[in-house]
This record gives sequence, structure tokens and C-alpha cells, in this order.
Amino acid sequence: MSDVLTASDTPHVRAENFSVFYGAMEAVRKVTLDISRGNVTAIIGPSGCGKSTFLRAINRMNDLIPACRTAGRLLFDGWHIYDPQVDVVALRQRIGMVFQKPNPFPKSIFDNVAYGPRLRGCTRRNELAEIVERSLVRAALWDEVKDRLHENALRLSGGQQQRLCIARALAVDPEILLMDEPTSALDPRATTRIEDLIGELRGSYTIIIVTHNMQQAARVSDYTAFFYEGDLIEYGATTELFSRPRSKQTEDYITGRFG
Amino acid sequence: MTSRHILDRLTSAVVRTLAFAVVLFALALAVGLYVKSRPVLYTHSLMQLLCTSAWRPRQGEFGFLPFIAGSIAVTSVAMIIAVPLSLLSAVYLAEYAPTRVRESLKPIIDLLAALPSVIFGIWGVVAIVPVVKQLGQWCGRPTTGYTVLAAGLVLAVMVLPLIISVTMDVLTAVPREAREAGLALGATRWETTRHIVLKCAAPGIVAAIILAVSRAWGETMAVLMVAGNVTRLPRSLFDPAYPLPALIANNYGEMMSIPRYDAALMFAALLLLVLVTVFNLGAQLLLFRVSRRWQ
Repeated sequence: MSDVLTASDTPHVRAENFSVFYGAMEAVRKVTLDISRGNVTAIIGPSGCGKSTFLRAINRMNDLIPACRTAGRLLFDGWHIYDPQVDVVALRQRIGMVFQKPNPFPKSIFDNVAYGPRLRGCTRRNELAEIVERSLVRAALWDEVKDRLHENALRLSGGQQQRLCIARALAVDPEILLMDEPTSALDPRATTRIEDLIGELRGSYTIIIVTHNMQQAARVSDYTAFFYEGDLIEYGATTELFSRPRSKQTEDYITGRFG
Repeated sequence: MTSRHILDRLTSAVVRTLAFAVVLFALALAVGLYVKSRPVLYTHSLMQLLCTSAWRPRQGEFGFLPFIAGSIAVTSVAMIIAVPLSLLSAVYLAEYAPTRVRESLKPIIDLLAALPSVIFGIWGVVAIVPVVKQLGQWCGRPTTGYTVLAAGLVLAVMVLPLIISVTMDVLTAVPREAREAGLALGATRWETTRHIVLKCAAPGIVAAIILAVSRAWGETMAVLMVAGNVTRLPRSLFDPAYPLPALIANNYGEMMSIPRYDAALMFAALLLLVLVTVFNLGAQLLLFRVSRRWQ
């Protein structure tokens, strides 16, 4: 590593011997990796391998779980995410998240997307309308909903709901977008739309996506991390990892021998 | 047809019959009360019964207004006190309290909700009535303490655990995903609770309040012991009240020599039944409208 780091050289997220415990169970074990800016990084691995836990550590969603604690260092832009001084609310505005099950609020489409900006004190009608439109356009949902922005979001289809959740996350202008198996509850067509969308968002945001679907990881990501039983087994460029895995376990997993 | 099919048909027939029987029983109750209260309905118009306040059974005057007003007054006071307090307690216990606090308090609250009402009545006489008497003196309204306020307070304490318990269950049932969605957008815990969790839980919370209103409305013993039971339209918190259930409980079986007296008490019971049913149906309709808007 060079002594002088420009902003784009600093990893956007860096884990150094980072562990997450649930009680006595070490769900993520001494993971060290750098996630680069503006790329799509996929985290793969069998169920229970710690991939979701690691993802949720990045915006401190695990704080909700009482027995959860961490060790080691996790840095966002060089800042300690688990520093007691960190303002979790501000952190989560810079690190957005999309969940496994689409979870729109029981509000209108407009109010769903405007929720984040309103929290930050944006009340001007024009400004909100502009943010809502921009976010929905970015999430490739605008054309489908522009005539019914004030309808209840729960009336949308599952795939539309998930894109709405992406729009909602984008509306607060995050730098990082965490996606926790965002297509596992969707049908193949909706899945393709989300994958296309991830491709369009690449470059503007750092995207970290957890997926149980290896083809998906291969299709959408620049880098892939393979987790197994809490350990980071292998991490590298996606094309490398899928064509020339260095570890036997990775090879077994991606060729479908277990998982 | 195999025996399994026969059993299947038999079971559905039995459960259907039982379900209808329950509804029929409620209807039979209403019809029975109506039949028994007919004597007083023949001689008095509904207007006279519901909207006048003269209660002189010996002279054949039956004005139910003081009792209806008494019931509405004590129930309203109880709700005004109990609803905000219990909702805040439930939010604390379900959303903020450490698991250990929540899990040790919940059974106690459930127990309180199941306590016999006479216990609350006695506690009202011993603890609440003297306090209200004192309060009345300070406010320049000398009273015995047996008042709308005392009855409202006792009822509030009675329904508090009920609302807390049901609301806690409703809040706990809100999926974790809903909370996470708010928090992940940078909402604070209170913002998430207020904008999202309470919104998702609203139908259940309304149901909890309906339950509490119905309980307070029909409560007899605890109210009867502290309300004062004076047949007069209550005009302030420090006036005594005479709610409908207390009227029935205090007088049924006595003074039956007075003509149409028992019919009048039957009418009071019918009134109680009809009003609580109308309230419940109205609230259910409102709930249905609200929840349909969000589906």
C-alpha cells in the first residue's frame, strides 16, 4: 500500500479482524477485507455462514439484537463504525439498506420515498417532489407509478415494492447501498429488473449485496467474498473467484457440491 | 364414504351449529329483554325514556337521562385518563424496555387485568374516595368523594392493564422488517415507533381501546361502590353519578311492587346492551374503513 492515499484509493469499507458475536457464538470470525468505492461487491456463502450478519454490521442494524457485540475494527471512510461516539442515525443515512422482504411503509408511494428526506427536515413540496421523482427514476420505477404516487405502496407488486424500497433508500443520497438478498422473495422477471438496476447504479454508489444465488453474484458483482461458517474464505475479483477459485471450499461451493 | 369423510362432515356440522348457537343466544338475550321491557315501552315514548331526567318510579316517571349521562361521564373520564397513560406504558414496555423488564412485568399486568372488579371497588372506597374528597375541598367543591371523578379513576386503573396488555401484544406482533425499514433510513427509535410501528399497530390499538370502553361501560361493581349513585344529571367531575349497571344491580329484586318498575330495569339492561353493541359495531366499521384504506 502506498503512503499517500487519495480519496478514491481509500477503501469505502474496511474490516480488520472484525468479529460479531451473538452471546458466546462467533457469527463472523476475524474478517479482514477492503471494499472498494463505486463497485458492486457480492457476499456469498451457505445459510448461516455469517454473510448477512456481516452486512448488517456495516450500518449497525445488529444493534437491535440485545446479545450482539463486536470485536476488531470496522471502518467506513476511515471512521470507526463501532466508535461509541458515532451517531448511528447519521451513519444509517449515509449507508442505506434494502432488505430481503420488500418492506414498504403502509403509506403512499410518494410518502414512502419522501420519508427519509422529511426526517432530515426537508418539507418544501417542490423539493420533495423533485427528490421523489429523481429517486423513482433511478430505481426504474417512475414510469410505472408516476400517475398513482398517492396510492398505497402495499398495492404494488412484490418486484415494484422492492424497487420502491430501493428508491426510498436512494432518496437520502447514501454513499453505500447494502442489499440483503434483495431478490430472494421475487419471481425471475422481477429479479432480472433488480439485477439490471444494480448494474445501472454501479459507479454512483458502493453496493454490497448478500446473495445465496451464485449466478446472481457472477452476473452483478465486480468483487465477491465467500463466507463459510463465519470465516471469510476467499475474496477477490468476481471473474477470478468464479473461474479460478484458490480455495478448495470455494470451488466446492460454487460448483454446487455443498450449500 | 369412508369413516374419515363422515367424521369430517360431522365436525363441520357441529362447529357450525355451535357458532350459530352463540349468535342466536345473544339475539335471544336481546329479544328477551325487549319482551320484558314492553310494559314500560307501551306507556312511555322512547323520547320520554331516553331524554328526560325525572326518575320517580312511584309516580310512574322513568327518565333514564341521568343514568345514561352517568355511564357516559364515568366511561369518558376513565378513557381520557387511561388511554394516553396505557399507550405510553405499552410503547415503553414493547419498544424500549430491556427484555428482562418486559418479561417480568407482562405477567403482572396480565394478572392485574384479570383481577375481580370488587377489589378495585374496595380500593376505590379506601384510597380514591378520600383523595377526591380532599381534592374537592381544595377546588372549592365540597363533596363526599363519591363522584364521577372517583368512578372514572377506579375504572381507569381497571382498564389500564387491559389496554397495556393488548397493545403490547399488538406492538410485539409488528414485524421486525417494519422497524428495520425506518431505522435503516436514519430514523431514530422514537421516529420509527411513532411513524411506523404505531401506524402498523393502529388497528390493533383501536381494538384494545374498544375492548376497554366496553369493559368500563358495563362495569358494575367497582363503579357502584364509588360513584355515589344519586339520580341527578352529573354536571361536574365532583358530582355523584348513577351509571346504568349500578341502577340495575342496586334495584333489581327490590321494590317490585311498583308497577312497571321491573320493566323499566329491563329496559335499562336493554339500553346497556344496545349502546355497547352500537358502539362496538361503529368502532369495527371505522376500523374496517381505516384498514381497508391501507390494503
